Amino acid sequence: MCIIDCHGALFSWLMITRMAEHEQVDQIRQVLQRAIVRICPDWLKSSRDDLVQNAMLKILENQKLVEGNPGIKSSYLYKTAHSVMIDEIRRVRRRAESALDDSELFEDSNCAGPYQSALGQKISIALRECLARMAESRCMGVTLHLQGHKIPDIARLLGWRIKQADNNVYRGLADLRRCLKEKGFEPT
Amino acid sequence: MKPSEKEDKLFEAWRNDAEAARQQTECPSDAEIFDAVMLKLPVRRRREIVMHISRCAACAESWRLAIELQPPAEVSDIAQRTSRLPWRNPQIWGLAAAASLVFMIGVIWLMPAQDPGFPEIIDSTTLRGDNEPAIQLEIPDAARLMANEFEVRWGAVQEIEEYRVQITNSRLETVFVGSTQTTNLKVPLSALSMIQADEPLYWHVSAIRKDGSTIRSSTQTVFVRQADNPE
Repeated sequence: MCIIDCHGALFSWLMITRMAEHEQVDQIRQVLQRAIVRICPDWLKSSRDDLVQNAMLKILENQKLVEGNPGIKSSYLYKTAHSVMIDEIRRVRRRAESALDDSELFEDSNCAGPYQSALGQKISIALRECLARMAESRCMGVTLHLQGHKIPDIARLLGWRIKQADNNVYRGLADLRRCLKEKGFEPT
Repeated sequence: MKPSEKEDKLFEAWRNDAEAARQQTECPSDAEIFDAVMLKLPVRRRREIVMHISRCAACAESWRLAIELQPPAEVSDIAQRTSRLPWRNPQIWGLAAAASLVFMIGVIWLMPAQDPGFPEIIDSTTLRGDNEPAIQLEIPDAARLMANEFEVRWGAVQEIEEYRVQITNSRLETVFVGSTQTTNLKVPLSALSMIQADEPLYWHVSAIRKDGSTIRSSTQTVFVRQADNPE
């Protein structure tokens, strides 16, 4: 009798553990789905589910390394989503470069023509050359500005006062425009 | 600061070369870039990484992706709010210091002996440099394969000891694991017998190199068509 009860209890406990595991997996999947949707470019939209699964597997593999792990922080999930996404972007681009006809891969994106691409690339190279010539603090300020950060973010990231960040970005942008003009690139 | 039309062109030029850019061996890892954006690295290292992204379009793109995953809180709002807070009054500092001391003692008392934390994302699939091989899966994504002819294929990679194929379901249960030295693998019918008709399966290939390192493919979806199912 006791054996049957013990077996029953063990079975229930196993079922509860399994359900809890499934629930946790679902929660992790939801967080990853949100993260992937947020950063996934349109041209990779069809791979979203695959990317989520890839991130899930990575988390599972890394989790095995840590015994007695109490739970997974969402920041860790976001970090994994970031890693999976940037890898996939690079992988697909590389495939497109190696393929003879890559039009299928990027047919949804607004690709520039060859002349615009070549011109755009020249400006990009000139831009980076100008940044390399700049004073370090201005270069850092302008780089983060071009990355899309606002002045308070720049101050926080670089450990500056807000006024200092503002000055470096403002003066750095002036330097940048001057340098690009010298190179023959003047925005119209 | 609202970007002008002239600045828009600068932004465009700045982001333009990410497509052709390659990460190099001296690049910081994507995990480190993520930590820098999330302010989890010391300011000195953050500055080094910012200087690096001023030169490296591939890392600049990784940084931009991390920005999009930042929590939405606006720093400027926080800064404005904190400037008006009453505890900026110096008379309250004594009380605050005493309270912090009590709190710290409490935290140390209650803190577990060791926080296991999480390992760094050691990612063997990161594409660095031009010579790094990448595994290309040769089954179209979301393909429907007959259960009795379920064979996966991928492109060859040089100097490989063996390939490992893993198929999982959406509950992260492993449906099949197999290894081979060729670039295709037939999945036995017995492994697929319990799979539902519309249940998505996910598969990827890991290539084990002779030096022990691993390269992993991307993950793709595949559906099983049972032999007696006309769909």
